[in-house]
Amino acid sequence: MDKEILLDVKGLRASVAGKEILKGIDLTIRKGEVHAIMGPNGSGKSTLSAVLTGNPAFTVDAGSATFNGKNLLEMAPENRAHEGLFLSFQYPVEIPGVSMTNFMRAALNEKRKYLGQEPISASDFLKLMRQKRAVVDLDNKLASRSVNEGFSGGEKKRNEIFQMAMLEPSLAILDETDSGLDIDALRIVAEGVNKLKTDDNATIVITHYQRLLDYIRPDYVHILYKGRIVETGGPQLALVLEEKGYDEIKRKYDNNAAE
Amino acid sequence: MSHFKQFTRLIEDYPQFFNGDRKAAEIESFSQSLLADDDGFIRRFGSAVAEMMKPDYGVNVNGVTSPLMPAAAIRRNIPDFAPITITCVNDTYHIPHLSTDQRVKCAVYDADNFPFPINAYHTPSHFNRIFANKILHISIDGGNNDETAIQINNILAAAVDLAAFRRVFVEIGGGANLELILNDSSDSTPHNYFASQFVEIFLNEGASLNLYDITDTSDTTSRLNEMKIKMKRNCRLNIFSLSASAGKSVNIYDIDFESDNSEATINGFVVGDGNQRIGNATFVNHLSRHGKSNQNFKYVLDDASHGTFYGEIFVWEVARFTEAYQSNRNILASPDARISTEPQLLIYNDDVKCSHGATTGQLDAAALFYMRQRGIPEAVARTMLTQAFVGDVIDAIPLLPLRDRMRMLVEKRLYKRSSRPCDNCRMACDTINRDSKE
Repeated sequence: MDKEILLDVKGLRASVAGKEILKGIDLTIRKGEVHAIMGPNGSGKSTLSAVLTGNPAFTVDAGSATFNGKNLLEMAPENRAHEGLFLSFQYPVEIPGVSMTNFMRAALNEKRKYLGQEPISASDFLKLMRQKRAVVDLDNKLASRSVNEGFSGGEKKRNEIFQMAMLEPSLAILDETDSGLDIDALRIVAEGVNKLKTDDNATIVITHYQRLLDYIRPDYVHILYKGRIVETGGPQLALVLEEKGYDEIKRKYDNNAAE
Repeated sequence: MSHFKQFTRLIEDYPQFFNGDRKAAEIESFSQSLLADDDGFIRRFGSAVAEMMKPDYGVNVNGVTSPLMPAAAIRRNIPDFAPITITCVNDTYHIPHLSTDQRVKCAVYDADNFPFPINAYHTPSHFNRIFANKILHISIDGGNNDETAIQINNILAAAVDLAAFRRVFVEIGGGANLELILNDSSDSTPHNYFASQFVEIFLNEGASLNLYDITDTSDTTSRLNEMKIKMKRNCRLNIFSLSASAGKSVNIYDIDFESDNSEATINGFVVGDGNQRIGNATFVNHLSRHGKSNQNFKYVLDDASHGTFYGEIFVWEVARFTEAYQSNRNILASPDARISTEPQLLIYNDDVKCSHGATTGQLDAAALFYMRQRGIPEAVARTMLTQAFVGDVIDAIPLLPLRDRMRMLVEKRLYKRSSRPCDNCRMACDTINRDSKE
């Protein structure tokens, strides 16, 4: 019995500065699922997350993406967020002069406004911050600092998952959340993601390494190469990749392309 | 001379106003300053001043008094802050009654009977000297370091297009501390206003001054403002200049370090939009040893607004062990906004630490997208980033009620465009409500 479809991507093509990166992506994600997207450098993994979240640096050339039954590609990035789409950035941006607290309160209240809810009270907000910080062991001091400013690599990634916990997205895209993390930080971040997992939300995990998938167990693994999803399988596909590397994939699909 | 056509005609039309040797000398000195343009004022700000002069303003040649409007004055009060309040309606100063034994003395003189020299330095002060008929004189006795706070509310309110001329002379006694707030505003009529202002301040040995120069007027108001400040030994000067809403405005801040060991900081912040033209020029003259100066000007320009910054640090040969810094950072928030910046450092001895720099850019696109991905709409995100950009200028304000007031003014000004609801806001709303009720 299949669960409800959350995201449905069909024939998605996208380019940056006139260069085509995504060359026809098909991807269906249902509630409760975890999808891993793997692939060599430059295959289009980060572009896919940028296009889905509406980064204005990228141009959609063809295809469709339906999220919660709505046309995702027509929505402003902020409305995609309000609809429940969240991106944990590969490189979280430092915003000097904007405190984490103000940033988070603005984000949360804009979402509540979008959903027709009253703004959160100051005391409830602080309580929520405290509660969600615990998910990833985020230091209280970091919350009073400027967004990501002077955070270590691990703190930045923890901060991403903290924001995810605050906003409770229905679909979270984790873009190389494991990069730059030591083993302890990796465990904390992955456990944080698992705590937030429910039957009604879904996760896309973009990664180079099988290691992260030991912690966040995927239902499906997709291999993205040269802007296309070339293979889809179960968790064992990641193990095969870890063992054999991308060379075989490259050989196989480079030859196919030449034929 | 072509920049000042209207006023030239005025000079011809009202010969009785310009009678007498003093006026003749002032007009002569003004013409000379225009022709010589020694400080490059006309070259840099001439076109902005020409714009200011376009309307055919009325000038109060007969010395008619503008009455005090208490409601308008109260509206500009700052919560938790009770200064001596002087209100200037157009060109009429209304001073409070102060007991004669107080350390603070305020008086309004006719220019003809002013017991001190009526100086002029740059083009705006030469120009002001011709037309200003009254001079506000403030003196603070030296000898103890109690804080004195004086707020001058400059209000433009008239039934016609009007040019107003104001002149202020301040003397701060040795060791005295003064907080001086100049708050410029206009009524909400569509009339064109022009304000010429010259403020001359003397700091005696060990005196300190925090000067707040706030322009919060209207698109139809022009302002040509010059401030000359002279410091003796061991003085401390802090200037905070805010052009929150100023149709066309030029400020000159000219500071002389006359004796050793003094310090001056100028923090300036400009928000421009529409077709506003806002300029600032600084002349920091290190004429003595061990002086420290620090300038930090930030501009945020939107729409087709134009900003100009000219900053000059002059370190004379005698001014050894000087430390002088200057920074001008600008954000152009729209493709039609323009900034012209000219940081200047002129050093005539070897024993100094100096630096200057200017940067101009747009809001960080990566930060904007990051905020939008978290659900913060673009307009709000832009405003939050702009606020963050100027945060350090506001944090540098020493007095807490004024810092809050400035932060509120800036936020109110920035959020004017983003129609942001109150829910995310951390402004002191009781202040705003109090403001809007009156």
